[in-house]
Amino acid sequence: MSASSMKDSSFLGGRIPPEIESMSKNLKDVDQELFRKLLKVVVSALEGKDCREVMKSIAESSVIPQERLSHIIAGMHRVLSEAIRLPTSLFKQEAFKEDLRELRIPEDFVTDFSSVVFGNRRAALEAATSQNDPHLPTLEEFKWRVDVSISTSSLAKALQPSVLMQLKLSDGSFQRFEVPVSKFQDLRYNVALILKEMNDLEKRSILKIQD
Amino acid sequence: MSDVEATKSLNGLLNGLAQMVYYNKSEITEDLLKNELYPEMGPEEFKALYEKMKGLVKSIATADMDHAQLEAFLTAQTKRQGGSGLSAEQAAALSRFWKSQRVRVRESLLAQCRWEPALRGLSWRVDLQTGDSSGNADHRGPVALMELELGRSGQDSEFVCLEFDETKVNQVLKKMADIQESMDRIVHST
Repeated sequence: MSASSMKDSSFLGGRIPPEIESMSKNLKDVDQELFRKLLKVVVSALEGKDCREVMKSIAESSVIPQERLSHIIAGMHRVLSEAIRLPTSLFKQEAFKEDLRELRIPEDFVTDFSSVVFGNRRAALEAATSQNDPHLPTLEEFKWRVDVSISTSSLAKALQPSVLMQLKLSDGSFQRFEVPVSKFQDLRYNVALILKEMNDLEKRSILKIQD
Repeated sequence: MSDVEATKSLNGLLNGLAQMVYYNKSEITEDLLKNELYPEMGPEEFKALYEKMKGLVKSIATADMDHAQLEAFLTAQTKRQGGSGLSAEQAAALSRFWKSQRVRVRESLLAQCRWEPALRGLSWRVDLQTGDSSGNADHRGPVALMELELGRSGQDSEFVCLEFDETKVNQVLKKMADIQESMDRIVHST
């Protein structure tokens, strides 16, 4: 998608999602203090935190009926998750604000939304949403031990070092295996090579992180 | 049987024994060795030769003899009287055999007493994630995908796939350096 086509259409696509439309209707007499509280809850939720308790206490102390609050929360969630999807290189703050104004969202709220999407929370939100991507398990714990076999049933004088490695993976599984010395050298060399490749990749300007 | 042929057959027998006993080649059998290498020899005579060579190779392998030990051992064997003694040609063949097979036989014997799965191989690739279902991801750093091939001796390999970011790779590399250091300490102190 090019930058110019982004300006022509809303970041929400051709059709405004129903929860956003309904949020816009329900925001009418909401004061900014309540709006900010709700926004904070939604941001925490997007970051993967449990906000049921906070939400409950807001709902109990608010004059707005719970059903309307639900519509607002749902809409906020959709606005933020749709906006975070788009890279800031293609999606400008002004375009975002303009789209929200077209939805008849009050200007103060537009500013608040915009400061979440384009402010310093963005990195954390992006990181949190990336947790939902499909992943291979990662390494959580790496323990090792170096043994020297002195003698075995088949070899009188072994005197052979070997490494026992135990990996705990993020899927909860454990892998324990022996690494003969020659394979250990191989492994170490390859890990160093991987790191070098990763470093090189980051240096190449075409793939530099875009802000 | 000429001397050259006898030496050839004996080399064949020793290598066949190594395949059978140490390298787990089940298609090599005693009968096969007899028929291929010593077709004219009587079964009992072959059996005696076979058992003698098997015993000698086992003694040499279990002790993981170095050159001097092997020479001393073979000299002692050639001096033995009667049918259990070794001819000079046989001693030479054993010496040649051990010189070429020592490392491999030792590896195989070490593997026999390795019960945990061992690392057999490693393949990897470095990816750059450019997008995902929740949007664009070109701000994310490179990801290393690693596949470890593990297996117990005589069994098929299992594969474990892992994902690493740069920080994790760095941490693993640091641990590798610790392990290396730990091994170097042993090697230096002995």
